[in-house]
Amino acid sequence: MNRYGQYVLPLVVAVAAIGYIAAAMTPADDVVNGMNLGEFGRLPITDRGRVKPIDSMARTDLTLISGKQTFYDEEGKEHAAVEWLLDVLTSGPKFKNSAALEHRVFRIENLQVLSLLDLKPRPGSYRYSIDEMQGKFKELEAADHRARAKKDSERDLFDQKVMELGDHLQLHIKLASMDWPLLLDPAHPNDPQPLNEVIVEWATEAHAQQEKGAAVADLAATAPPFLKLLSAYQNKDAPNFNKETAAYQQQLATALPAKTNKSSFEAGFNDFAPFYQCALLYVCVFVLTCFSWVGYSRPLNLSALVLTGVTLIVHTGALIARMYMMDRWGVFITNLYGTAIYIGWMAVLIGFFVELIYRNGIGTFVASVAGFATMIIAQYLAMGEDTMEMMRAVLDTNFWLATHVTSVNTGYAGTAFAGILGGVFVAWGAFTPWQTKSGVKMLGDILYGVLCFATLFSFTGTVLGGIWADQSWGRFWGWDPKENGALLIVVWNALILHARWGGMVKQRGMAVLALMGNIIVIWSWWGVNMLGVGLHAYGNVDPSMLTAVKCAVAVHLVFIAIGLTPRSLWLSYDAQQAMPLPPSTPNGRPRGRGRTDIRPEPA
Amino acid sequence: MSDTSVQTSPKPVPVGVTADGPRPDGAKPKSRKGPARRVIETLASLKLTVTLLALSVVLVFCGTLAQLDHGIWAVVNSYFRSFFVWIPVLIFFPRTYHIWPAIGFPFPGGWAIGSLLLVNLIAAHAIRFKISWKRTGILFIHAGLIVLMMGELITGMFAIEGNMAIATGQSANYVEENEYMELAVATQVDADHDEVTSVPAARLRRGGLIRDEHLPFDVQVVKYMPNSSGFARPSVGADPATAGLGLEVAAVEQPEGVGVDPDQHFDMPSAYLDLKKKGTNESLGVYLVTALRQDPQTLASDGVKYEISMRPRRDYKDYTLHLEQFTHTVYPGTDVPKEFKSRILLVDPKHNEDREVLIYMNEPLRYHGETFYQAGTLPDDTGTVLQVVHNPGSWLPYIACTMVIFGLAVHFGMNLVAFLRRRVLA
Repeated sequence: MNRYGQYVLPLVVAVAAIGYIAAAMTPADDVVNGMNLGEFGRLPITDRGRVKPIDSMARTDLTLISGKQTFYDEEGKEHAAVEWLLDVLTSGPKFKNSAALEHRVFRIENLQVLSLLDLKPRPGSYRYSIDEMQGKFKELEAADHRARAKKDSERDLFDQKVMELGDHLQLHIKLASMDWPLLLDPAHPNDPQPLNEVIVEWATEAHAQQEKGAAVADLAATAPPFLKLLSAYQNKDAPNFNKETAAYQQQLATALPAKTNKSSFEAGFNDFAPFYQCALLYVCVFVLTCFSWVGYSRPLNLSALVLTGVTLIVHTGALIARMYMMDRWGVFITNLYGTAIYIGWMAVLIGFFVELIYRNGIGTFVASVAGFATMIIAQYLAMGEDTMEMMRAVLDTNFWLATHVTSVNTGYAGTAFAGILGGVFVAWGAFTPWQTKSGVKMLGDILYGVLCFATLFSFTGTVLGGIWADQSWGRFWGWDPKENGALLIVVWNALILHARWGGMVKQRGMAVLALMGNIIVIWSWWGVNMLGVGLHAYGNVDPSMLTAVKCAVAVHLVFIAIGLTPRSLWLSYDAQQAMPLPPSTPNGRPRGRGRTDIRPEPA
Repeated sequence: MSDTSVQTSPKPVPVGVTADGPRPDGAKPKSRKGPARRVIETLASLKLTVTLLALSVVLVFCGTLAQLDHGIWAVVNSYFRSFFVWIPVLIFFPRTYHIWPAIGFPFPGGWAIGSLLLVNLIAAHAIRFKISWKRTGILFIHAGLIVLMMGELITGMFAIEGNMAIATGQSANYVEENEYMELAVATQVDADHDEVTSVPAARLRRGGLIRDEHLPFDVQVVKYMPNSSGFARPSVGADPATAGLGLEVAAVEQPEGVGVDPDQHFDMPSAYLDLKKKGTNESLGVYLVTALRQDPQTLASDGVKYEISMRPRRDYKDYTLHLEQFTHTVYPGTDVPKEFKSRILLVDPKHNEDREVLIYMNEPLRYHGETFYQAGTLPDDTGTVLQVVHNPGSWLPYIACTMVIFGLAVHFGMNLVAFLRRRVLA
């Protein structure tokens, strides 16, 4: 290959990636029966305490009920969440649209609940419509009533699932009776009004006018724009629907330009789904990196690096976009979902720099694993939650969110990166014959650097948390479970560094300890929330997450066990014997006039 | 060390290797060390550091798990502010397993590990580190950690936390320390003043007969409950009450609060007390006093009226806080709190202070060594609850963390620069 040949593939990869992203960013036309639902989805409303596009609300509500942001009709055709929302909003006594009752969106997997409702398991979907359940509502209500009368600790899985379904139906009813969304009132932007109240207010006024002899047609023209929209939708009157949408959009844009712009931006953000795109791209990075170890190394390696860079730009852009939408500059994280996308980003960033220095695929490998895993976790956490929810009063401070929370999570990311690196060390050494002495040393150097980084940030973050606590309720340290979790990470990292400085462990020992550090990260990040609800338990965790956490811990324990087996059993044993340590490298504790030098081993 | 080490027939040092470097033959220099020296070296060793760090990881982990069973303060006192702790094995298992609570193991507590770490650190600096520019970072880190530990020690020993609840339009001049309940016996001295004698709940907990010259009667503890809940008394009381509140309500013992409880309530102690005429065995009645109902009960002894109640210890201040307005706002369409805000009039005749202050989340009032934080609300937003903290060591963590963070940045920064320089050179 000539000098420039190796740059061809990376260039192609970069262009392809940018092209793909550009395509994904272009808003898709969401037109149903000539009605522009995409445009409708951009309309700002208030839901769960904040102004957002109706598209976000529809996605959140639908995901809550069905576990997905879209739904399928009986022919298997995919539909957008706003279409479902429009059908539900028009299903009340006013319009009597029956479509909402036929949509199969209620996810019911529990076999006992299914048999209570006299439904057959529907493998692959497990989603049911209201019509299908209707015959058994009495039984469901009774079961729901019984479950709610019980204490938390006495409820079994069936009770929980019945209550869950009850909540979902309740949500449907709230929407059908137009309790939600709250509509923005240009005159009182901070006091949004429920849709049904807006309609009743107008109807009362119109009724009074009619008594006075006003013409019905004139009164209809004064109807609230949202009502006109719904009525055009119900009548499948596409031109009117589009006209009313545009008019309402225009009206809000004139009165509340900032909120309307933000809302429109958020709808575009939802459509682009940047974190989902990142997850896909991280898989590509992973594949490229793995192939680079098989052959055609330089170009593939460089391609993986370039693709990581491009993905990192998307990831960074998405984080900044969230800051804009929440109006919290400098704040990466406001909830558990935020921690996942941030930790992933930071780990990828670390991996990118490691790769820039070493150019051997280790950095991009760990980056892609961490990036993909965290994006999956984020996807899971976003289920039925507003990922940009409002902050409770005590947490509502941009300064501490930007410093303490960011710093602690940077520490998590560093520790997690080191943990994955530990896993790479063990797998590379035990399962491949290619881990040479210099490879061992290289991994040891990266591990050491990343651990120093993690120690710095986890310590800083933990202490900043203490200062925040001191500022807000006068207690620097309260030994609360989450604080303890952060402290564990700091102490564990300090332990690894001291063990290395004291010559108690070398590269392999560090790798094993770093794997244990990952278990501590899992504990602090997730386990602590499972203990119960406290000040820091900013996310509730459900049983399936508990299983996932147990599996993750088990995987780490397996790696640790393998890491502790005698080196002679490792496939790389021969490779390492073939190239003995140069005699000048100090192994173990350096000596000299009785002082122990705690400098890191010289390279 | 260098003055006592004897090197036998050193081989010539090759060019480029300093005499301080590892000996080319790899042998340890023989040395004669006194026992004291050996002890100090052990105390200064990195092995001890790592061991202690590992022990503290275990301690913190157990101290977190234990919060499922016990109140956070009980855990802090037994695990972290102690020299030894008995760790029951059951904390590691789901509580449904019914493991015998007596099975456990002893473990060094926070103060033991902390002080050993301190000794380890000081010893290491005394014998191992020479002061040099390269060590600046480490010196700062370690000095900062010492200050941090001192801060925690001072907080543990001297900090006082309390509450001040003020209804809107009302005033308060005392802080209630909810951790310390007491039996208060009050008599009116004149129209404006009461004389209060109090018996700490910890004394009631020990049980027995309490005789004190300040008490107008003797108190025989019939039953003491560190935490309790109350209910309307069944028609035939199984409890010993014969007078007062106890005739209407009964109290039952509850487990002491747990640390991960969603809304961190304080324990509500109750006690059945047989009050006896001073120096005699003549009963004035068995009374129920409980933190659940803190309004005083009246009784008469020798023609004098007394009021008794179980209430938090009160710390009276020279100044008065008057709550002018309390606001609690939520996000539209939800019940998620957006803001709690108390507008307070601070009146301190002694220091000639009379001003309005605003206390809200993350914006406390600091006044004469006390800090007042917005902590909660009275039922139905009828007033505010302020957390009041007096901590003479509160400023230490600020200094400590500045030192440590600076130290870490310098130390790792120097390592990074050295590493990158080597990479570039290579």
